[in-house]
Amino acid sequence: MKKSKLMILTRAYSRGIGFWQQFGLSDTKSIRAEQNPLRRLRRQLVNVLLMLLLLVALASVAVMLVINFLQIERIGAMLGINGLSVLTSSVLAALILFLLATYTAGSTLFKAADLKFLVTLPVRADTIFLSRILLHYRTNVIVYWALMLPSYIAVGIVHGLSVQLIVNGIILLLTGPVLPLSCSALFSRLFAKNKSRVGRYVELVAFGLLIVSLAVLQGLMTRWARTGFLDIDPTQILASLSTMADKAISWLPLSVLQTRMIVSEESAGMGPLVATILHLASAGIATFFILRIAATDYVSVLNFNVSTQQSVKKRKGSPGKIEKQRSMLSALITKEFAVINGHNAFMFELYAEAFVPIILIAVYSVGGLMTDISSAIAFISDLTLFPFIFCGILLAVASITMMSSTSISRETPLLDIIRSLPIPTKRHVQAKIAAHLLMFGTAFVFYTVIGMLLLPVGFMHIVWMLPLGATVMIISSCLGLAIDYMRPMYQWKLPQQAIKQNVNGIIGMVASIVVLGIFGGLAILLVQVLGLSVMLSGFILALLGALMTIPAWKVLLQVASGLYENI
Amino acid sequence: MIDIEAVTKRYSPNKRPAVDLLSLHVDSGEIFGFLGPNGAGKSTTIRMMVGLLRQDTGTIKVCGYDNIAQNVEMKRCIGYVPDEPLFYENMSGRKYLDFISDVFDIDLDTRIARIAKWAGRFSLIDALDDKISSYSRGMKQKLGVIAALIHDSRILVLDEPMVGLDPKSAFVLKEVMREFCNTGGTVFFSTHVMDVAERLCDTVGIINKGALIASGTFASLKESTGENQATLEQLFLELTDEEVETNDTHSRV
Repeated sequence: MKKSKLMILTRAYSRGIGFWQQFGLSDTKSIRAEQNPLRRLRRQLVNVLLMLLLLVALASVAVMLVINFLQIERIGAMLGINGLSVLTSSVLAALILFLLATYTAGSTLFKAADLKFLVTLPVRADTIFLSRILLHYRTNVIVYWALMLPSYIAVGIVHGLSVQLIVNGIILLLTGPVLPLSCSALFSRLFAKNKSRVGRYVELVAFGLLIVSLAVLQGLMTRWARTGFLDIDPTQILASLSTMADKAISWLPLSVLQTRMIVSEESAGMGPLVATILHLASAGIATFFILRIAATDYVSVLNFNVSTQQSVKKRKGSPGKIEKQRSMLSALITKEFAVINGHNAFMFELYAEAFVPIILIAVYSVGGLMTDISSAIAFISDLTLFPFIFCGILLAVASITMMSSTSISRETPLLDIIRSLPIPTKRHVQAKIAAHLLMFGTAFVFYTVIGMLLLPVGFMHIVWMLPLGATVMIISSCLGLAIDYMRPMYQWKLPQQAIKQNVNGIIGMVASIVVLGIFGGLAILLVQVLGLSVMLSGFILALLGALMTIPAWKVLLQVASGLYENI
Repeated sequence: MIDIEAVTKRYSPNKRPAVDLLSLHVDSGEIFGFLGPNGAGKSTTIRMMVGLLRQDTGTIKVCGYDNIAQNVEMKRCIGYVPDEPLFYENMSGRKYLDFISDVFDIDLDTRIARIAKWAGRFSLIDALDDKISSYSRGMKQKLGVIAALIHDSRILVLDEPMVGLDPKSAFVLKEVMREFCNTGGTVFFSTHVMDVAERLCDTVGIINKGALIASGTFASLKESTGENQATLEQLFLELTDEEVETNDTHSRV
């Protein structure tokens, strides 16, 4: 049977990579091919454990969303608006999908490495473009589903399960993401043929917008929640919510149609069938025109991006100079940052992790929660363990990160360069830990000093906080690196896969949480049970941490030598 | 300089070895051309020689260092140019060469002089401060060659070095290879271009299906096959075809 070129192109992209491999898990076929039965069993067990870990993480987020949407749906019922949770989730899902998809649209649609080859094939440009849109859809659709499905469950619990909910729910899950994804394609297209700073940093713009949107949304929700919980006049709250809902309904006709597809509203005079038809027609027409504009001049955009001649930049002024000779270690640290700065996806993820406290402060300021947080801090600052709580929160920022646990995966396409150089394993590993400390250790020191100036922690505690912080970060980094050395993600086509879809990152974060939990438990034991002073306990923990770095370092060296020396 | 002794490498236990009981010896001051059809085992042999891959059996010694037990010391005396030029694309050419110099602990004055010398020779000096991501394939190939030369290695291992080079740079590279050998260094390179191998190499080795089927000087190869008027290309075709025929005969028997 003759296959359509569109399907051939779409399938070709994922040829050679199994479904589980794209998340850093072993492919079932490769496990079955393993000759050694013990090794096969171990790989199967590791895979099952990792899948369970992923499922638990997903389930916990889903339950949290369902509870939120359930509350929204019940409030909607009080206001006489059925399906308020679907309305909310459709707006949220469309917005977040658009921003997240814009963040990756350029690399999938216009700059992917395989486009260099595809553009030479006797295939229409429209077909190539459409195949990339399908890939774009496949990569991002999960975000939309993750946000929409909990609202369906909330509707099912409040209004009961119905054929309408199931059938139209599926239709909406499949068709709902198309318009936001098309908009992301159009947005990315606007900068696709621009090599200027704006063009190169369109993903940064999308990422910035995503952070700002999340901050504003979080701020609005927390402000709303605060009003809801603290204000004792429920009539006033309902009246204000009703006004907000009315405005949303008049401003967002497409989301209203999506809501009516799922939940019938007799007063609206529109049945689910009519809503479905209207939604499909309006979204379809809008998508058609948006994609037509986004596909304009596609071949010339591709040629522009694949042409190296056009991208050669001539530096103005004097040529760069080599100022000084560095040690091998500092050269390797520079290389670590060259890898991170080589892809926007790596930069955004890791630098954003380091700036989490600043983002949170911005969110809480927008949400007007800083006063409440200050009162909460004033309350817990009286606790004996407060310096440990303070240090623990900052250490969570500095060690629960993907910096080390995706370090080798990020580097795999270039691994042969570094492996062909005469560098002892010890230096490789030292450089990776040093890079972690440079990025997150610096942030930790900065936040600790600022926090001590603003909060009643007691500046003298810095003498144990800094060494304790350093040891905990080193242990976390060693564990994260060991995980990634054992099973690096060798094959990735988009940089996001090496970091966001890399299960090693999650395992590394879980390992760091366990380390923090152990130290937290020990702090409680020393201060609360044994009655030691905070200062002495801090020193004991720092010493214990220093001792724990020795086995962590040895294990890491052994694992790492498998990649560099035991070839 | 290079001693390969009965080396075997299998990627899968169910398939024939990629390299099968290969033995080779290359002396210092020699340009050794490693020839063979696609998939013959050239790149696998090279990857084992430079310490990127471990052989299943046999030993490899480069500059007297074992490729497994003395992996780091061995790499220190090799300048390796892979078949696919890969770099940290976010660095400029100069930064990359600076990075390589740091790894090999080359002092400041020496590295500045060597970068200027080699970048000038390969006409890359104007592009040295541009990001590597903006380089063409040929420019990346030149940068790879400069990176291999900058630390004054004793052995140059080049996997298909002429691919992507413009005629002038290919000529310069051939000159550099000869000069390198004249100063006591050894060049081990793989190529598909028979003309280059014939004119440049002191000795050649022909590998097919993982096994070395012929090795020696061009003259000795002609003598052993009795084809005194043949070109290297004709010898190569004859030897590799013979192998196919022999294998076919075996399978028929």
